Amino acid sequence: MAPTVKMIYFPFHGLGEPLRFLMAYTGIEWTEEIISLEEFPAKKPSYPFGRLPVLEMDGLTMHQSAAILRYLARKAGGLYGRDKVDALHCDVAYDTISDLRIMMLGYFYEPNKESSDEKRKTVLEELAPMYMRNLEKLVNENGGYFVNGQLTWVDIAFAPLIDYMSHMAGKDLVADKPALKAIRDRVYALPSIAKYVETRVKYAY
Amino acid sequence: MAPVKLIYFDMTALGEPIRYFLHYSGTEFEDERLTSEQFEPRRPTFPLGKLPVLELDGKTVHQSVAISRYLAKKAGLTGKDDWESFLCDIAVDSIQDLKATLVSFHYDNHEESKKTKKELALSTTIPYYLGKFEEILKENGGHFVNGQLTWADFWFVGLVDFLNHMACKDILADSPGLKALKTKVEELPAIKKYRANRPAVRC
Repeated sequence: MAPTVKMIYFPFHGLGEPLRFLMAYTGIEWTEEIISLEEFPAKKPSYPFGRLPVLEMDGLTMHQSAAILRYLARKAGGLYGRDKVDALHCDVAYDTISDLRIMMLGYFYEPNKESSDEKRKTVLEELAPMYMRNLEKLVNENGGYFVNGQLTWVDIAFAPLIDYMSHMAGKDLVADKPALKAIRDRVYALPSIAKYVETRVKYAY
Repeated sequence: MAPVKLIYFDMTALGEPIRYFLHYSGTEFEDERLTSEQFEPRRPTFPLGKLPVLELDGKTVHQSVAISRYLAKKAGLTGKDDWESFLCDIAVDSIQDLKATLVSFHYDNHEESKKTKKELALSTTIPYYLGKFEEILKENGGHFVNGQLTWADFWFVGLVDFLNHMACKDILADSPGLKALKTKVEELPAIKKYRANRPAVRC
């Protein structure tokens, strides 16, 4: 039977890739509708808030990638920690990673070059190192995972996200962070994800 | 049980929805508010040097949305099933996208990029988002999710004074549904009592 799940996104890994990784890991089959940057303005009004990614699942239209990740993780079971407190820590960890990503977006997509260069300097010299140190410490305190010694949706989302963020940083952000690097490598080595990565379309970032 | 303590600035912004959840659920807590001068020397003691933080069960937790979702679950404000919890998350994240647009010019130190972004936000992005929120409220009995009070309603109402501060205007002037929701939340007995007695804020 044809998959009833369709992912609509740009020709990038970007913010769509964590969804693809989680779907691959939880055994959800999906089709892809890739929207080029040229096509996007005409199609924008047809999306709930004019933004991508959008996931169409069983006739329902879903948007907001983090909300979708949380929903799919809950549905799959076993990927949101053991209890409400673990769930809180999953949310804290993911939102912390997101905060760094958003700071990087602030310079990466800034059209004013002078402003972009100024912001880039602040983020890469001060903020990113502090965030990466904090995340490395968190993983070391949690047995090599983001939360309570076990794999959660946050680890699975982190692997492709840190690649996107490294692209925006112009360097591998986990090169000197062994615990975070180990999470990325471990997630990429999960059989269902390794299989997906092998066959996926490769984009610039 | 260990005491609950919220530490935030003397502002509404990201602290106010958390204060609303704690008052609504009848949780006793210490509501510590810091001026900028009080915050700076203590900055290195907070995770990532940011506020709010919540001291809960002897641990310090940060990230206002994560904290709010946790408190909302305990207060029965996350909808009646996984799908409604998801709709709450979508609403909050969309409100956060609107806030991010305002934050991106409000805290931009580069005069030119600040001006460009502010103009776009005021002319296009804010009306677009508020229009979408009004549609959602119309389809959901005046709420963000399925005719019921959820943490998404609290999140928006708690945050809106800060959004107005960044936009330098009343952004709800042409949004009757959102105005009605604001009144509804602010009239809830626990919220009304808190608001009548809360300390002065800078925004």
